[in-house]
Amino acid sequence: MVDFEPWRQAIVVVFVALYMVACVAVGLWAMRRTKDAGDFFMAGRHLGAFVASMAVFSSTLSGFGFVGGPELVYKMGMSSMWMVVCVTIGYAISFFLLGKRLRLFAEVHDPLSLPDVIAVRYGSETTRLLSSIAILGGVIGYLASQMKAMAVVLQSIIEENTILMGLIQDSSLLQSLLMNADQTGVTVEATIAISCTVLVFYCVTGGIIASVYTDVFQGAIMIVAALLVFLTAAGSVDGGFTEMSQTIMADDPEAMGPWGTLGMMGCLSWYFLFALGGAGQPQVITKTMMSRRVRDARSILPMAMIGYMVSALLWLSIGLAMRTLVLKGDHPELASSGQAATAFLQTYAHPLLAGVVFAGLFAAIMSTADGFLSVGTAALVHDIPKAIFGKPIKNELLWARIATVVLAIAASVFAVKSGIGLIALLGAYGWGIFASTLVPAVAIGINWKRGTALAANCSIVAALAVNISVLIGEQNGLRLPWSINGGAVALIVSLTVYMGISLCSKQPDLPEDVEAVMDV
Amino acid sequence: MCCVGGMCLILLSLFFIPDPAAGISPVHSTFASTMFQGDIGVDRHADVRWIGLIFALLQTIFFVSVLFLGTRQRGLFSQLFTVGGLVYAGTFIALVVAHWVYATTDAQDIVWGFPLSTAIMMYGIVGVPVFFSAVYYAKFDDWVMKPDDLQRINDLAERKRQAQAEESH
Repeated sequence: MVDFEPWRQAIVVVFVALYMVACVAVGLWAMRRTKDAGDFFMAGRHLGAFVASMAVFSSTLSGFGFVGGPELVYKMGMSSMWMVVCVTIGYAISFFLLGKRLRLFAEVHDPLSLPDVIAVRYGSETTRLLSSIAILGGVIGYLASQMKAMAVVLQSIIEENTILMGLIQDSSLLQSLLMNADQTGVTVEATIAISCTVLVFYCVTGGIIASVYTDVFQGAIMIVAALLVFLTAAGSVDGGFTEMSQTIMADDPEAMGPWGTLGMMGCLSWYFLFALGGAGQPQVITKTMMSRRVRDARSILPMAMIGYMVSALLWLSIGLAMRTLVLKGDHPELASSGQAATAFLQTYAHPLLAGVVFAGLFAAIMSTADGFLSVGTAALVHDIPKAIFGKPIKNELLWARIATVVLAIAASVFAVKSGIGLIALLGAYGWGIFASTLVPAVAIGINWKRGTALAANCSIVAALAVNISVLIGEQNGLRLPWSINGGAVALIVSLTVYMGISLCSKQPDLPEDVEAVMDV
Repeated sequence: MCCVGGMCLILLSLFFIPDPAAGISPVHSTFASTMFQGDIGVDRHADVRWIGLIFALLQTIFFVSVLFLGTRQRGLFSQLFTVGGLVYAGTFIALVVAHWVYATTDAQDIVWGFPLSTAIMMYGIVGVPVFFSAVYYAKFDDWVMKPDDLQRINDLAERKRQAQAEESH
């Protein structure tokens, strides 16, 4: 039998490099199919059900699921599983509320973005502007956190590879470009530049078409990686998951209980935010407008749900296995909980599996980041100019390509210059910001005729205000009681504002075509 | 609206119930730098278990209500979804009760790899809502998007395209 162990680091580098080459190839292929802004932002609405479902699920599960998820299980026990167990009701809510109706809006109004639908529904350019600003703000923070994660992983892969480090140290040009001042490792700036170049290349050349087709193989890698890791984790502890449960329960019964170490109210607030909030993630729900037929929503729902559930096995299995191994003394204590996933892969996974999973990690990060780039670019070149000047800018396709680069550079600079604490916070708050600003105005609004433009505007502003207040509070050491999630609070407040103002207002007169879509 | 109002009241009331952990999980007694621990579950949850259950039940009612909002069907659909909603709410009640038994007694039965209360979360809270998606898939043409409605929307879209084409000429 071939011993791959001495080649572990080289195998990881080869898999990641192959993955990046494949992304570039898809970008070049998609470039020939991107002829106008409709192709760039909406893939010409030609996606089949399978492609759309893979795009939906892989955009939902970001790098957070592959690194942050195991970290949370290791650190807090079962608490973070509430972000996963909500997936069945969450996808059901998203598709019942949006799957059909967003696609019908797309059929009748030919929108290029989510704020286009919002502007048509409410007949208000102010609502379009506010939703675009909310999307852009969330995108910058979320994108920066994804880029930082990508850069940190690439940095550790390069630094642990002696051959690559030797090559860099032998070349004075590479040394000056990539290495830090004391010549001990590569800089985050350099790894951000490398990973960002690949991401930007396929997003600029192929737009959303490249994004969704890379999502397909990114999703496939994630599913394979998660299944293999799940089996490896089960075998890493004698007695499998039953033994893991018993070891963790013997140490701290609450950690293995349904509320984990976070407690009941914190877990339930996560459940609410992640179940309902899925219907407010622009990088995900925009993709439901891109399918070829309205009826495709029927198949996209179960396929996306199954893909997510299988991929989330990695989240659970690594976290439980590492906590058990450390508690039993079979593995030394980790330097930080964030190392749970990488320590498991480096120690217990077969080198080939480690290669697949590291490629899967990049896939998870990039599949979410490309979705953010797309919706952020649409807000920048399509929606904000339309809201301010009343008409779209000329040559949208060219400007969209330029804006993709600008947005990626802005997020990279933000990722490099801001403290890691702020980026982690913004990344963690990204889901909550999107959920609380867009769920009332979009998910409820396109299903409820009483919703008014004023209510939508106020709910977006209220959601941003609550999120920013909680963020500032947390940075100053203030905590919400009972570990309630700030995003969940913002979502409940924005729903209350939206429904309250709408019910106190006169029912709006809707255009015939909007009413027709909402009547179905 | 009642559900959302109720959830608002629950969140507000939490500010007036003293939180023993002050919003931060206690650190692990041995691995303090990398792990949290739950401490005594009874102490931690005694004051909020009923309010937490009401919060969970309001969530289930709200979630099933928005599913209705998305389809606006009556008859067999509403009966099925009401039953589904009741089972969903029942699963949450079972979870809270099972956790309380888990926290207050030494009963630590493992069901499919997890303690009973956690197994209810992992299999019940995940499994029950699959019913709603199964209905969406199985009855899409009858309850979600009827072919007649789709035809009506396609005709509307076609009329709109023609009007836009004439306008541009």
